[in-house]
Amino acid sequence: MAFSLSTAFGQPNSFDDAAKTQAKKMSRMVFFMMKYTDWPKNHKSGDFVIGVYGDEVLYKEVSSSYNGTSTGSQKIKVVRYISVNEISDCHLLYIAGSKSNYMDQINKKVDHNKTLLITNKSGLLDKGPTINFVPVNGRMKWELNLTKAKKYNFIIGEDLKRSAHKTI
Amino acid sequence: MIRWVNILLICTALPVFVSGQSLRCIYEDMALKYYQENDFLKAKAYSDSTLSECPELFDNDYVWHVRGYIMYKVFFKVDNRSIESSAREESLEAFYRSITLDSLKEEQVAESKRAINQIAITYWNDAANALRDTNSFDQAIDFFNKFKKAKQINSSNHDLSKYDIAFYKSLGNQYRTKYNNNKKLYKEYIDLAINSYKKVLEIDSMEYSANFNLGGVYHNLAVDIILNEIEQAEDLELFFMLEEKTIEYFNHALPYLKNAYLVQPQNKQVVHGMAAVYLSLHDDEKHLLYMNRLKELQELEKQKTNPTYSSWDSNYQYAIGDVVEYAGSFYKAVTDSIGVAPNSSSSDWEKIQE
Repeated sequence: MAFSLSTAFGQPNSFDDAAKTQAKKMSRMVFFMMKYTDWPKNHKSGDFVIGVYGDEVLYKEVSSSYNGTSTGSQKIKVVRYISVNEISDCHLLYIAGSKSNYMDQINKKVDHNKTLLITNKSGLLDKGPTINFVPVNGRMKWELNLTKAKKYNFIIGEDLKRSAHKTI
Repeated sequence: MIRWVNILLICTALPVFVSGQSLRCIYEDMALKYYQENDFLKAKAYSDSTLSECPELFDNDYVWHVRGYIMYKVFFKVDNRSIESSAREESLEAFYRSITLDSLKEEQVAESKRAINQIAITYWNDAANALRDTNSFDQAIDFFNKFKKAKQINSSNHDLSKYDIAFYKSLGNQYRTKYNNNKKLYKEYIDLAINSYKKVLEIDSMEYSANFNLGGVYHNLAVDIILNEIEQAEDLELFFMLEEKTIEYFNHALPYLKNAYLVQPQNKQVVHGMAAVYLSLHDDEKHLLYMNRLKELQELEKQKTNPTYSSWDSNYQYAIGDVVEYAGSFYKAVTDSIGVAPNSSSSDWEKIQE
């Protein structure tokens, strides 16, 4: 045969960007946590600070999607923390699964009256966070520590409660 | 009336050949004569006349055999191999008739079959050409079907599966290219790509590239939802619905990528694909497993391109073929030795690289 049909694997696949793609989804989940949670009244002024500790890819996604936008009357500011020592005053703190060993230190560091802690590791719900992301059958679900939310006057929206995988 | 005028014109032009023969049936000789003189248009005209004017020759295998060659030459020489030319199909049809009439000599049957094979090749080439762009799919399929028909004329039990595999893989890739050019405008092409790859898998369920590409297609469909829709979802209900679709696609991708991995476990592309799908399905353990495998393969590849050799060791027993690094140079052992410094004996060591 004079010509051969091209069967090369030249088709673009998005395998290289898998981490980034998943970060986009997680970023949206963080957005929903923010959207469906009501912060105590005394923390509803000034910038709304979202902190990300331990997941650079997610930080970039959250930052590019929400930095400079608004929630209610508050302007969103996204910051990245490299170490526990850097963690400071923020409204929402996302802690990557790889940093869950630092929960004790983080619990001591944050103001729980203001900071909604979101973690991402199975079995962590009673270790400090109000929200914990967990994988369930290939989907990312969330668990809610409603006891903690109530203690610190956070109001968790019904939508989040209804779709929670587990609540305590 | 017109027919008789034509015949009379031919008779006037060629009186020598008409003389002493039946007027109605000399056309075949004329056709052959002009074929031999490379005047294929005239040869065709006489061949046409043979078929229209000489019913007694209509079932003559040799007449069709000759016509097959004439039309073949018309296609090649007169029509310059144009894909629009109908002469190719007429040639194929003529050769087909010649061999089905059954009384042709064995040698002529073999010649006809050789010619049919040549025609088949032209169809294959035209199918391949049509697949060089993303606007000629119907044409490509048409040529491929004609290619198969020609091959089947030659031998009805000819196994064409290898051609089906090659063609449908290529077709699937081009459908996918078209889809990727504008995913909204050409959204139906991704289903066509999927169907093409599946046709390949119906023939060979473990065909590597069809499995890999199908895995890639489903993976990318899920990714597109995340990038274009989930990111925009304003409420949880929509988010969940979209997430379900992505999970469905990722789960669709997995078995195809697994098959591809079984066939080519050393292929970094598919290992990467497996790692990506498991990450997307939040299976961190398996994601890590395949990422580690990918690193191993990358390391192996690096070693192959930049092999590292150990430094010469005076206590080590070297065998012929061993390569060592010594004083900034590389030496290959040409004898078995121990304690012989590479730069001290050219009969034991050959310097191979500065």
